[in-house]
Amino acid sequence: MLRPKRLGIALFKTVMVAIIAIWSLLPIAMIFISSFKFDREIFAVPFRLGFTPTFSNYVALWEQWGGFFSGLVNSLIITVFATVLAVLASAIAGYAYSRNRHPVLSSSAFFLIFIRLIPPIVITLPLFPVVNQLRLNDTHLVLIILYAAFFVSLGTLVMRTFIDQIPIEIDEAAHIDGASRLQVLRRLILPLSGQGMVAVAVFVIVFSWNEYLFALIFTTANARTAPIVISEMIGAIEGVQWGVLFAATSIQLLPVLLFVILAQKQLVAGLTAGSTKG
Amino acid sequence: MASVTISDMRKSFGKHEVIHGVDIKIADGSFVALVGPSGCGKSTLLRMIAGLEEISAGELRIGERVVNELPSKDRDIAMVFQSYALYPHLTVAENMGFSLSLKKASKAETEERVGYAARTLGLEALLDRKPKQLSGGQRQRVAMGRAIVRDPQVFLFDEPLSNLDAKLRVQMRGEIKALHRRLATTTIYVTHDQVEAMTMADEIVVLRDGRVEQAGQPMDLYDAPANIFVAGFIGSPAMNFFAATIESVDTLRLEDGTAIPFSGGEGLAKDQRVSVGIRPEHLMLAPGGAPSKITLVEPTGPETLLTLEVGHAAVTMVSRERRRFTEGEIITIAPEPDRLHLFDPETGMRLPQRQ
Ligand SMILES: Nc1ncnc2c1ncn2[C@@H]1O[C@H](COP(=O)(O)OP(=O)(O)OP(=O)(O)O)[C@@H](O)[C@H]1O
Ligand SMILES: [Mg+2]
Repeated sequence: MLRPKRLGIALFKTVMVAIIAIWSLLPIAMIFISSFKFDREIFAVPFRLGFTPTFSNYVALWEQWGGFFSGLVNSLIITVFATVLAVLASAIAGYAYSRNRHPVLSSSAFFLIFIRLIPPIVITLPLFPVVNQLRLNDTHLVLIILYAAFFVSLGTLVMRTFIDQIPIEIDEAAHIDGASRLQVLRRLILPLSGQGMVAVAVFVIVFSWNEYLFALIFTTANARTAPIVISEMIGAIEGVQWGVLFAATSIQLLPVLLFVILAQKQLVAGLTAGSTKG
Repeated sequence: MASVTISDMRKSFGKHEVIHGVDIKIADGSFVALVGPSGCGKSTLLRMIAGLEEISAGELRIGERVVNELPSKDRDIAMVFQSYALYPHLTVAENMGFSLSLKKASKAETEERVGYAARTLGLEALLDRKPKQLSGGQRQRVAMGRAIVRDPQVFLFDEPLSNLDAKLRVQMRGEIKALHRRLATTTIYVTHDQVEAMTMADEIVVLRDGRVEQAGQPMDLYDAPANIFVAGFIGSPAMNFFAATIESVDTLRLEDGTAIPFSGGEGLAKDQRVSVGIRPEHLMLAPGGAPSKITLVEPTGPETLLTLEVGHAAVTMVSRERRRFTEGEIITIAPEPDRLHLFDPETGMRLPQRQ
């Protein structure tokens, strides 16, 4: 039996969680539901849950906005490679920070935090001529590198905290067993810090998949990502087709949502790394 | 297998020197225990041999090779850590075979060597388990298995039994000893437990504050400790010490006036001040001995540990007599005359005595 006071607290918690869940999920649910409605029904007041679902928006999206699907492919390529790059770089750097003590390292760790405080656009705009000069404009590569770079600092700190929890004796035992540093990293550190890598990956994936500003600056046609195409749909001359827009948004939203839900357990462990022992 | 020769080896952490020139010769195939109180530098020394800690000065040879600059993996040593340091995501078999997989050994060879180690240590049934699913003693065995699979020149152990309960510790002590007899691999074993060192080692090296106090066979250290520190460290319960003066060739007088007969004092001058060491097990009940009040009685079964008050000094005594002792009782005691240890009270060094 729960005592009344504990029961009250439990009830309060449940209600709060419910409110927060509804608050954050409602817009997503509305977009998703609306994508199956005809345009005229979408903004009908009051909002109606009961309606006959239609796939016409999705069909129209496919027929009229082929660019959206190539945008999705671009987004996918960029997200995957940016994530792999950022996670690997963070893991390697985190390993170095975790296992070495040097004044240069400690001061650069401060730099890693500091650099996060600068608005990315301040650093990025001056890059424009450089990117042009290197003929990287409108390539996947430029966004891959940019997105990855944004998360290496945070990712390194996350990975470092994570790797700090792996006892150094494990490295030492492996060195005695004949492992090089690289082998220790690949065979022991990476497998043992999987949760940290998932946490970093979530950051990069969510960001890269949704990012708009830099994609707008650095891509024009070939490497255009899905968010850019969606924004074009809003600015279309013949008036916005809300249903189609919501269909596109729903498709765009789904993979990240699924991924975050799947990675939830690892994510929580990754974000709380270092806060408790064992 | 190989001998290990340590010559004037030093270690500094920053400006702080913690190993101050250590010389140890370890014969091929022998079992050497490094003992000493906490913080004396045992682990540091072992880690220097393992190549996990840089050698600040001096020379380290394994066999004929100088290995100062060699990385761990090229020194052909294996180490068992106090924390075992098993790879948590690998099975017992993978843990033991890790070194082989790094060498890209064939599957057949790996199976054979891991199988041999598993049979030697009784781990056959556990090969597919992860370290998490093992008891402390089993983990300990896996850590040893990992070392055996390597078939190294030298085994290094850093307090491998300190995480086990008392009974298991005694059992593993025997197993490690038996293993050494069987493999005859040179072994360096760090412990702060002098009983472990006494029971297991062919030779004991006593360290204090980064210096070797004495090295020798266990019974030599017990019978003829080189100084007061070793005398107090080796043997359990610890030796009793008294200030005394030499009265004649065969009599000492303690500060409280008690006369103690002893033998082997031919080289000593009359009236010389000495520190007398008497092991608790060398005190006997003796009519006409020093009257002593029992303050604590601790029977262990085969023997009884007594804490006594002699004059104002607290003295420990181990008695094997089948007799009831009661707290508060006055007994008279005397040491075995040929079992006294005499030390120079200034330098702490053993005074020459005929045995
Ligand atoms: N990485 C290090 N940096 C600075 N000082 C160290 C380091 N490692 C050890 N020391 C110092 O060196 C001395 C010896 O330490 P060591 O760990 O070798 O002792 P130990 O004999 O193994 O003790 P214990 O029985 O407690 O394990 C200690 O004074 C310790 O503080
Ligand atoms: Mg130690």
